Amino acid sequence: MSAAPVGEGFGASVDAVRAGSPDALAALYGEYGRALYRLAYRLTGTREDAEDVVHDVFVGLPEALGRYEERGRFASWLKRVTARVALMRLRARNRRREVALDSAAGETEQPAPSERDGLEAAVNTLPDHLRAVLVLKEIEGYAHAEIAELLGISEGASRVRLTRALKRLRNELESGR
Amino acid sequence: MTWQDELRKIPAPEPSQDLLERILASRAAGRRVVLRVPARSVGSRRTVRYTAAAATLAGVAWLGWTVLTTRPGVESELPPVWAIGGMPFIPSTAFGQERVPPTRSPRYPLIAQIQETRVRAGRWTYEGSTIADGVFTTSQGGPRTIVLAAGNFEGRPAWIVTSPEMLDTVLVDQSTLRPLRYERHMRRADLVQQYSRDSIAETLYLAPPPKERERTLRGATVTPDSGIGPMLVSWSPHSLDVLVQALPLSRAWRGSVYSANWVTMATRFPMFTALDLRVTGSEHITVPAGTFDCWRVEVREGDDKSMLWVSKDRGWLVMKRRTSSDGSGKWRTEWLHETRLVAFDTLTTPPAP
Repeated sequence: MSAAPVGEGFGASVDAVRAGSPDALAALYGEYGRALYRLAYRLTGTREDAEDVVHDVFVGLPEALGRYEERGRFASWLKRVTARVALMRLRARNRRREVALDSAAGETEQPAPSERDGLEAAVNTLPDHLRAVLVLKEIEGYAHAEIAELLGISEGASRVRLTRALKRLRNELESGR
Repeated sequence: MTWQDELRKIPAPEPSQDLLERILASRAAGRRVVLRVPARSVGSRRTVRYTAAAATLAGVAWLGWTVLTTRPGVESELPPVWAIGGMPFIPSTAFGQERVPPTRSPRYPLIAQIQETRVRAGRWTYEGSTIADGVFTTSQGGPRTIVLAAGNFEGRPAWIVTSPEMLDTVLVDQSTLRPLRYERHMRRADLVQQYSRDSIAETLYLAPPPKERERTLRGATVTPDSGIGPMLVSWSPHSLDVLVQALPLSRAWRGSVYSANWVTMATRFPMFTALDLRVTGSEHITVPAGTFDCWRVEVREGDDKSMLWVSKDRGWLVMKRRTSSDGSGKWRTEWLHETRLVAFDTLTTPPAP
């Protein structure tokens, strides 16, 4: 069974994916899987969480496509869906951290800053809520309005978080950590 | 190279080789994940918001322009009864959350002394006409008759004032000329006002189609004059006809009297308005019913001004004129309403003052 091409044209293949065709889903993964994984990784900061995010996105995609209105770029829509899932995972992870004892902090999957170099290490020292805005704005190129909608915050809060993230990032880089 | 480029170049690991297999295995095992799907892009929603904001601004600007530039027309001068035809039928509980328009203070001392014994039973017939911009327009639906009969209401002597054309009845206390009860039956509404010495209880039954919209509004209020002196019923222009019979008019006489409007619709109209009466001269007036020596009485109700000609010896209202020619320039059309006495039938002619 050959999969229909799934890309910007999407078009006829959407029905196959919606119908739950494994081949169509595999083709979709082949086209967008890596990009979505990178986005998830940048938002969550860990390989495991990023894989879980991409896994959940593709498992739920056939049903979610039933609500896809085919407006705008399909890749953008898919990224937004993935960002939502990643942010939900971040929130769930933060809730788990709140419940955990302080000693559990040592068990975090965040790699130690010393293990990474330069900018990447500095980005990974940012708290989740600041890193999410930084990634979405400066790497993914979302507008503040879109970030606000994704994170459930105001546009002003998004701008403030970005400013704070950049300030912390600069401090981290200047401190030479 | 920009700062953003540096960030985008941060390396990210590759997904596991078996990730796709796990995805397909999960699907095959029947696992499902409900994803939150953005229904519409933020950009399009922003466009909708901006469009809505622009439309709202345009609407507000248009409304402001209309309010500032439109002069009140004849329609705005229609009595409240006509407002009921197009009024929104909002529950009285909603009215209760709105501010009540203030009652304007009377310009002159409230009328305290009347000559109630001058009032006589009888029947008076008037005809009216409207002249707009100098052109005769309408005869106002034919003659209108006022019948004043003596009677009793709750053990008290009362004047029963009726108008067959208007289907309303006012019961007026003979000694104080304060209303006791007012009833008006309209096409789709019935209004009953029950007066006590210092308060009014009102019931307004509305029956607009469809039947589900029928409702009864009830309200009560305290009169602003604490039960002293006569009072008018705004719904009935004839209550003024009765009052002028008992006024001790003379040169330079002046006095004010409250007129009760709505109680249940008090947020649309003030509950009471003050009528300020002032004798401005005397004239001999000829109307279809004859020639009468009259006091000319100016009546002001807010910005509205009209002129009455009241027979000196009989107290009857001989002629009433209401005009928009007040020099303010606020009227789009210069109009003149005139009501003239065409016939009368009284059992006894009241004594001269």
